[in-house]
Amino acid sequence: MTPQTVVTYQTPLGGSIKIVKQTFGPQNRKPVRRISFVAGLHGNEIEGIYLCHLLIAHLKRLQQTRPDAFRGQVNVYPAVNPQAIGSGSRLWPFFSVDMNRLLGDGTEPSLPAEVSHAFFRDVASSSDLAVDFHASNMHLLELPQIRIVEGLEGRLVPMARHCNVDVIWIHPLGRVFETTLGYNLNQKKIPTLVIETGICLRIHPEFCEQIFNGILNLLHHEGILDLPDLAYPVRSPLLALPFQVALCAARTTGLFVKRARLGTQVKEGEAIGDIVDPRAGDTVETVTAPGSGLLFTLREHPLVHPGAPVARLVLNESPAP
Amino acid sequence: MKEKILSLPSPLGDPLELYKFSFAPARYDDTLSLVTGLHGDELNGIYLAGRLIQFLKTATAARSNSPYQLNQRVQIFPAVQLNALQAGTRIWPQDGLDMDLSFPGSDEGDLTEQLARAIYRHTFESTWGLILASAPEHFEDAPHAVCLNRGRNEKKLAAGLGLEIARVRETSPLRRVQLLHQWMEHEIPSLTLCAGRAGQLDQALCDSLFRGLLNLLLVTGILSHPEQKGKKGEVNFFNSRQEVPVKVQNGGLFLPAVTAGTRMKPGQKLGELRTIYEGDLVEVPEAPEEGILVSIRAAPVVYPSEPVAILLVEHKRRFWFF
Ligand SMILES: [Zn+2]
Repeated sequence: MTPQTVVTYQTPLGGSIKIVKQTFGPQNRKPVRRISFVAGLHGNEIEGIYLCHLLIAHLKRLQQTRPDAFRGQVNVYPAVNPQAIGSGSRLWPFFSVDMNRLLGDGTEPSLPAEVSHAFFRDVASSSDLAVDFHASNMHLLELPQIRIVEGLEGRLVPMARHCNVDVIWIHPLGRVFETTLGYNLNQKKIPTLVIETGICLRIHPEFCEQIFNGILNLLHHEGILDLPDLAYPVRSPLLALPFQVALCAARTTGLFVKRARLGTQVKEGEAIGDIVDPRAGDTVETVTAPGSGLLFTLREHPLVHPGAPVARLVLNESPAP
Repeated sequence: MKEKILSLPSPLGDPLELYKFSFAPARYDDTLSLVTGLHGDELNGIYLAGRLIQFLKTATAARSNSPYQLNQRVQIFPAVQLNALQAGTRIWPQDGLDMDLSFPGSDEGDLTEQLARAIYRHTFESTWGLILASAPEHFEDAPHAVCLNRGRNEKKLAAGLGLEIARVRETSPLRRVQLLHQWMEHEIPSLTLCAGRAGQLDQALCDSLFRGLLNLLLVTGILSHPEQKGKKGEVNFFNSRQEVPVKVQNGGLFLPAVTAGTRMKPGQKLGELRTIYEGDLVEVPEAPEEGILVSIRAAPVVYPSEPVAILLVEHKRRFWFF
């Protein structure tokens, strides 16, 4: 394992902040391919940081016990936005910017933009493949899933199938995606998966272990690690096209109390949860499934306003056009 | 006229209500839309909107003896990000969305997106569009226009407002979700008036900006007066290659020596940088060349390699500094 500082910058008090990368690879030969894992672009998304911990710990052991298993190079960037992670915030504190919105062209000159660009250059120059770990925002709990921007599925779905996730969601390109790490690496012809799991500020060990097993499987299938005795049964993910994903949003305001369980099949019309008015003691709305399917997103943060997302389903049957 | 354009129930209080104030003669062809408070801390703009509403109320009141006559419609959207304004923050912590990165908005989205949608829906057919904003976080700006087009109409708007500086921005993925860009897509001559500092209300600055707003209404013929005719000044346009950020090498406390709007000479001192612990002078950033100081650092704490000033220079620089 070679720890390496990718970018350093000083704070106003004189201390330094470092973005670190851990590199593992074959000892006496050229790596066949290079893959990079990135976590912590959003400082409150701890699940990915923990996943990197699992990965580094495993690779450290493997390097001692079976150094010949390394055919390719693995770079792990476990905490790329150290100040945001240190303050548990999504945004880069002090500058109030989203590190995953600073890439691509047209960013304003700033320290975060410079640091992000330097980090990006490092990832881009040391990867043939990449995986960017994210957790959900404050509001929603997500089943382990891979999100792929429409148009890239041909290249990314075969890779994503190895990752032991529950869902691969192909979605249209949102307008601000063009400034993200995943989009920009893919633009540079470095196939990059964006894995989303859990919720911010928490660790779901069962989700992280599931993805960790998937990552080992991916490393084996991509020829980076030789792990012939890999015995994990990898689940086959549900492939969801844009029109197969249904979003349920609150129509009223109050506290959302879930009834359904994440990761279960719900039937059309089944109650996903209730919205209650805590002052009046009334249930003001019951949110029901718009179709039958797998519940892969479920609201955790109870406070809702009209329009607030509550759940997402992969529908078993596509809606009539 | 005060019109409620969106009402959203809130979990533990009165509904959240977004208002539009419009003033119009019986018949009109043109509409000027003025949007302020896209961020909860853009207080100069919010205050100016209130002053303009008060002025137009008086001018258009029945039995008014105001010498002004309103010829076209003016619609004002003050304090658009009302959640953030009430929370005392720039963006609303509950959804964490920057309203000026949420356009054209969505009726089905989070609150901020619904508010953005309402603004978009009420403004995309305007004749003129004007946004009042403060400097980006940490900075103080000399009053200037920001536009995406260097057209005759943008020049007319800037000149009417009495602004000598107009920065022409290139489009980018982030800018495409800003209100100004959405207006541009609808070919609405529009600009953002940037001035002052977020979180502060500068009354002297607002007095001068208010005179600019009235002058703009006269210049565009939206308003007329028997004696006063609008005045049109000169506007200098600057593109991104004419912007020179001045960065510091060290971190610490930056103490400015000049104010935004100063015409800087080469080598002129911008301020001092001192260490936080012991107050040692570590750096004296200077203007690298002649130019107008459009932005100066107002929040004193700086990180090394951050810009503390932005100069606008006359000639075209060949390379962008990235
Ligand atoms: Zn994220």
